[in-house]
Amino acid sequence: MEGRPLERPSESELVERARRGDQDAYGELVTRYQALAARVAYVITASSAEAEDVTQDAFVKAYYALDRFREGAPFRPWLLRIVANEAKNRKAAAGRRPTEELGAAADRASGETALSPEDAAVAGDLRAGLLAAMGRLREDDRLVLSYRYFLDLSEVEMAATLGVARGTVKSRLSRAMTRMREVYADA
Amino acid sequence: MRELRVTDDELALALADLGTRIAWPPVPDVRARVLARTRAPRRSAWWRAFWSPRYAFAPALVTVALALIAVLVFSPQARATATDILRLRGVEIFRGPVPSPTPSPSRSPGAIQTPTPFPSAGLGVQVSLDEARARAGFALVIPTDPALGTPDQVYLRATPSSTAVSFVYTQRAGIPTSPQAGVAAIVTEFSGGTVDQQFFGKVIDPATTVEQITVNGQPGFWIQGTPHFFFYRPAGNPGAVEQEALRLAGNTLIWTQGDLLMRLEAQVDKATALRIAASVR
Repeated sequence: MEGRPLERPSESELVERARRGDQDAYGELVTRYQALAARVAYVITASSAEAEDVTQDAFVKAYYALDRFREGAPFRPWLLRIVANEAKNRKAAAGRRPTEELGAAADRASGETALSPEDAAVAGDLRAGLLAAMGRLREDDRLVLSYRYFLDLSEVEMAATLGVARGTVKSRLSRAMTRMREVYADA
Repeated sequence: MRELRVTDDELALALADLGTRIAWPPVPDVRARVLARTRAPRRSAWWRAFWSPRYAFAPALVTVALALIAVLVFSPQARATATDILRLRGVEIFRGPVPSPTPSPSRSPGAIQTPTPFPSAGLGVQVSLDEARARAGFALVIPTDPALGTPDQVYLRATPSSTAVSFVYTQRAGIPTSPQAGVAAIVTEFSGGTVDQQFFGKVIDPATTVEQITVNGQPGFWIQGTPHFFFYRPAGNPGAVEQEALRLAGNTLIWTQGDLLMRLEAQVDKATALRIAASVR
């Protein structure tokens, strides 16, 4: 619709402008997607400092790769692939180093008032167990579950970040779920 | 022993619920830093056309482009440029000891030619054998031939499209140590992937011969001569081409074993290489 100046420019419009060298448009894309990019990088590197560096570098690389972005394609999977590549490369280069473990907030006071204290305790135990199990999963299982359930990525985005064909995502996910059960049970 | 007494749907819900509570690190604001680095105009892009999906593998063009790049890569001066080119498409390029011309006197202290130590960088992260087994994502196979015995070092490298595990054998009786890499043999296995003969034959050095052979009933290649590159298409991403450089100035056997692409690099003759390959299990 024309004449609606308050509407945010669409993603494809921003990409098109950025391709032509519009720095403001690219800045807007960075602002929109840096949180997601940083979380994907954090899931892979398990280091907030590295995730920040990866995010920055990935956006720079993506900018210089915009020529190769297929017009009209969704930007997020394309960007996330670059982020994931950058994060994996950096992680491999860094070798072994201390990593941070994911933490989770405790029950919110509101929102779970419907649960009895017993049920809330059970839910809390389950969450703690799942979180601990995530930390013990193999890398690719941990990644696929994090992408799907923690970052809510689409199948196309998961395929891009995992570097696999789209058809492979479902089987990876179901394998990871099976392993999650095993690892949970082994605690 | 405790079991997850929930259905898959419930487990999915529990994970999604957990996902809403993750204590993520604060979101970095990289906008200003990114824009400070994107002021420079993009480089001219004539060569990118070769890599564009729009030209989906016009094979002759790509082969010519790859050959050109391989030539560039063999010239140390051009190597950095070529690395840039390839990285831009996410194709990995090896930066290790491609045979250098006679060391030229250099004014830059950073560029002093020293005997190359074993180039572990291109192989990934050094891990224990157990770790490699746990993290590879596929069942490791390993040569059992006594000529090699137990590997001295194990490396793991994950690229977006495949995982590679390398076994390094430093010194072995009867196998010369590579002057380039300082080791006797490297065996690498790549998850998925098939050798692409079309690329394969074209980009190697004229002093190198390639012979198609059969290893354990499966197709393979025997390469003899100077270091070269080879290309393969990673599984699950047939549009991509991955390339690998030969690390040792030795001979190479490449074959497939189950779902793995295998490579043996060592200064051994073909019969020995085939014997070692046959011992992999």
